[in-house]
Amino acid sequence: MDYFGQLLANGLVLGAIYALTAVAFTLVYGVVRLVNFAFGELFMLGAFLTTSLMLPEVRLFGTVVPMPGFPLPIAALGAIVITGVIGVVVDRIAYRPLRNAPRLAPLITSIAVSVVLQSLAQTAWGAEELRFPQFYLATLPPVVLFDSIYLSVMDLVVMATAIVAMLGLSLFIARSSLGRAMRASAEDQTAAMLVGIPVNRVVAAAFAIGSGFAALAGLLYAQTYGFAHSSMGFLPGLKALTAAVLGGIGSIPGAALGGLILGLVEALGAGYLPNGTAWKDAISFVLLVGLLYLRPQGLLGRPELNSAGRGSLLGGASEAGAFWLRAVFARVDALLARFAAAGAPAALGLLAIAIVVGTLVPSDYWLRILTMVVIYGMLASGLNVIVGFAGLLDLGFVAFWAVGSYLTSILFVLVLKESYGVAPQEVWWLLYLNLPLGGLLAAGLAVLLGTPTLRLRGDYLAIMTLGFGEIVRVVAINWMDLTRGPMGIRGIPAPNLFGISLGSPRAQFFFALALAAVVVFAVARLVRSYVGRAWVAIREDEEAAEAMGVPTARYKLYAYAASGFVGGFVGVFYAHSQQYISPLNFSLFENILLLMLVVLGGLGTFIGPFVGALIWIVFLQLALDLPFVQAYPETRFALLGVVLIVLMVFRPQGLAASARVGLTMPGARAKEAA
Amino acid sequence: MTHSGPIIHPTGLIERPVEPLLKVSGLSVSYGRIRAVDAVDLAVEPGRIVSLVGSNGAGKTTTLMALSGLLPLAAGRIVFAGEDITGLAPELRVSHGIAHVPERRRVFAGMSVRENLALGAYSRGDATEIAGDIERLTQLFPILGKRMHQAAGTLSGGEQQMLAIARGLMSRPQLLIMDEPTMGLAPQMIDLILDTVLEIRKLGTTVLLVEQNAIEAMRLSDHVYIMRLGRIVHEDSGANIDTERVKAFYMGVDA
Amino acid sequence: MTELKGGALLEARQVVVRFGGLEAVGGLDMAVARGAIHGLIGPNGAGKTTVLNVLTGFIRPTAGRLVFDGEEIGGLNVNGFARRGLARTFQNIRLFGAMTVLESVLVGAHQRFSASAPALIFGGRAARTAERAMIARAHELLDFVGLRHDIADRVATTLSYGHQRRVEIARALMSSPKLLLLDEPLAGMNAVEKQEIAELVRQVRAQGIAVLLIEHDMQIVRSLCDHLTVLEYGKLLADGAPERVLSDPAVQAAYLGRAR
Repeated sequence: MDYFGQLLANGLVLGAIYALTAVAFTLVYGVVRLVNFAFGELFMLGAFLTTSLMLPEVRLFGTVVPMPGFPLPIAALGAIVITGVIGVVVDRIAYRPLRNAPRLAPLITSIAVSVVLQSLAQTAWGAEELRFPQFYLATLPPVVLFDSIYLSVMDLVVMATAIVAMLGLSLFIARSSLGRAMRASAEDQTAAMLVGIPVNRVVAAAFAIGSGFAALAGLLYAQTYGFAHSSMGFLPGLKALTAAVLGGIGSIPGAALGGLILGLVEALGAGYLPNGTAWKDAISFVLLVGLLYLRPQGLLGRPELNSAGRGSLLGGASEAGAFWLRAVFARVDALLARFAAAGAPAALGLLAIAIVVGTLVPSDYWLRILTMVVIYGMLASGLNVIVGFAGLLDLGFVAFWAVGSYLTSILFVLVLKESYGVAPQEVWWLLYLNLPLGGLLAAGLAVLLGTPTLRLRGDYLAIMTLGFGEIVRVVAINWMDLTRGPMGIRGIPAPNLFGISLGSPRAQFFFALALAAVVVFAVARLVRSYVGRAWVAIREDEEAAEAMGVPTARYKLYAYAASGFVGGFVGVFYAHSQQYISPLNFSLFENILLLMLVVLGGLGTFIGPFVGALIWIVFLQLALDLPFVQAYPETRFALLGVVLIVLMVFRPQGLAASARVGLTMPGARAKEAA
Repeated sequence: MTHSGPIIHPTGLIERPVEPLLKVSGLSVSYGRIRAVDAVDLAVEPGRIVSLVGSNGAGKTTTLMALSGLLPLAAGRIVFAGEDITGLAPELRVSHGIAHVPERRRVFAGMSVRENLALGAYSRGDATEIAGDIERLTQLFPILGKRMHQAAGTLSGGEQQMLAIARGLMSRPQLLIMDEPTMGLAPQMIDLILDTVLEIRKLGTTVLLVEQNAIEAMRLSDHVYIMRLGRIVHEDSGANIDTERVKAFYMGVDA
Repeated sequence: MTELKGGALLEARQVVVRFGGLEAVGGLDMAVARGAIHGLIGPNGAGKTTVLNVLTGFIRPTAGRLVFDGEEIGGLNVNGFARRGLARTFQNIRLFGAMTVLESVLVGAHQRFSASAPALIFGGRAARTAERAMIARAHELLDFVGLRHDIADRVATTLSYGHQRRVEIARALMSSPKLLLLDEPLAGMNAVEKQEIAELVRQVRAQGIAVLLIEHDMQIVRSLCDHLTVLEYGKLLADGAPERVLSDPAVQAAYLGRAR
């Protein structure tokens, strides 16, 4: 009972924080149907701003800046207001131009905004934790309930604040004129405009309030756990989104309920399940995945939110932007298009150039970098099958990559070498068996994970795949016997052919290049057939595809399988190329990065993923020569985020959009022309 | 309002030519490559009921949506009460005195009748008079008075239509645009709604009406425009219009 | 009307569609004869598109049966309807963005391809032959709907509206349907284009394919259709030969209203 009571109390505190953040997601989703992933980062900003305002001085950008040293309530108020303003600015810059764009665009932008805010926060406040200052209330002795449950005064304050804030918001939404206008805009934007509601301003208000709530949750979290950190908003953000979906996104009581359930389940799960603390992150996502499968609308939500507009990113060529900007895009595009139009000769030419470069580049350092370009290009190609061709946003792709990597590592290191004492060079051929095996295993997993997502569309699909990806990562961290957990697996042998080691950077580059040729060839063959036509038809208009006799559910699974196969296949090589893997390699951020590379290069093209990977990875290295970047390496990620937002707003079709790939079999057309 | 208000005559008859309240010239609207409305000219004089009549797909609803700012114009000019409102945002047109009762009613289904009515007055600054206006509107629509705290979505189709009209009137418009107010309603309800249109004119509000019940719409209108394939093909006063000709347009007989 | 002779290609019996409390279609009986051009008409909001969506599997009726070519098809998926031989176009043309005309039309032939993934990747001869045959067929159909060959590699959504409509019809015909369902195929067209599409519809019928179409232009309906079904409030108002149906006072009243 004592133990249970204490867990219950912890769960309530956590639940209150989740609920407050969930309100932010739900409010904005309700009004504009946007999952603003960046609320996790606004949560973090709330924590940082409050902490900073309470301190006498703070190190910002490496210099000590005097701060006012406000008491908590004033600092909190200041932080909430500032974060609210930031939320409005973000909406104005990154989301409002995309109000009528296909659903994928604002979703990707919100992920990019997340990356920007997180990188900027790290630049400003540094990579270290900022300790939450001591203050009077926190020094009071804890309240003891039933002689056994210890609650600090601040725990009670957190719960009380959450209750007051949510009741206040509910009252505001129910009674005030602006609240009514919000509900009206949520129900029917056109009708709202017709009765004279300035919908854009109402949306801005929703962002302001939502961001304020996220900030409030963040500062309470920082107070409870005693620190602020640039990545602190990531997991609570996902959990809060889970809570919002759990309760039924769009519903404020739902958000409260979802937050509470999640907080309690996590606290109790951590307390009672064997090794529960380690698995508590997985609990939330299992709950999420299960719920989305059984009841996509959430506990209190409505089913129509599980929908996506028609059309892909490629459909909407934007006319926005300054003249020079459009001119630059057009120039790049034309260049890539001319190249892509050449088809197979161009691909062979590119391969030849890559071979020449690989032969001539003297530096091992640069060869390693180029190998990474090829690896990321291949992975992005795999993701491109599902996102770019079939048009399904997949935030769990890293799981397939991880499966391939772990399969080969476990076989070579844990099973053969350590259990049976077999030297890797004796079984060098196993790598070549593992490549397709890893691919097949990942493809199987992809179908397994894809099946329950078939009923989901748009935002919910993204959220569910994200849940899957996180579950796989948590499993990789915690299934110690199989994966060695966070320590990772060391000593994975370098690739080897007939006993000749291919471990040198140059050999590895050529190995990667050969695999890339296989991947691109196979993907291209599939895409340039009735299968690819079915995928693109699903992407462009699922209903119309179905009406033309395409069994869309089956073809979505094929896309998952193909994408998963590439992920697993490349994953096998990745492990041997790095010779060390750990769960850190397969984080959600990697998935987001891959997605950004595909978008950067151009969704639904063969060359796009490689263009994206080349630009990004080479930039990542070259920028290190800049003194500013040396001091703040994370600003590179902020820049990537900014580039992506600019792309989404001004050129959603990506850099290489005109490199549109043909969807008919090359040979079949050649014959016809003759 | 700083500009001159409408000229209202108690019987709705206007004896001398007056400046039109709404003057539309060369209005064109395109959906992508399709020109749905092509160079339409309209004039709506104050205190009148003016109808736009034509078969499905003639461009009537598109015209109305362009007038209230929901669709961008490809060309043309809209002058309302002497002011050019061509580029004005939809919500600002409401405060200028145009209310649009949209096709399929579009009441806020999850909100109560009273809340719907209060939202109708969103653009007005005078919060104190809203309660009085709601009171007056329940005299026009007694059934709404009985349903005041019910969710709008639970009302019958006819009641929802009345609510949509009442919501439009809550902004105290000079011009009420009504799009297919009787669509899908039972015959008695159709009569009731059409009677209401006459009532609204009596209260001094000008009406621009699109109504599928063409015969009846022409009968109660002061002026009728006939649309076909995005253009005005004929216009006349309600009393003079040739119904056989309209019938020919509708039923595909060469006239 | 409930008793139907065996000659009908498609029969709907006592079809009811309810959305929440609203009855959009109430106990509809209708039959499309083989080789007919059948018009489905009625005033705005009468439920025509709802009926077309029922007949193509997009909406599963609350009650009632659908029999197509002697087979019960009520329980099938949308793609099952297409595979049985019902092909459709949409009120607002729904071509696939970013696809060329040829590729879009080929999607219509999806069910005729069967090559496995390995066969596609490693270049099986059968896969290539099938692709070639279907490309040839697509060109034939583009000819048939009156589009020139040089249009085949243009992105379909960049074509003029009239051409897009033709591509959509070619895409539907690519599945070799028994019944072609057209939702307002003439909307947004001028008089000349309307006559051209009407002529195309006649040619489709001449190929032995029945056509069901929703249309508002009564002049065209009168001259094009063999048979009309008129809906009002989701119920059958009239059914029969065009001249008789269109001069029916009840039908005229449905369109024009009744004077009080």
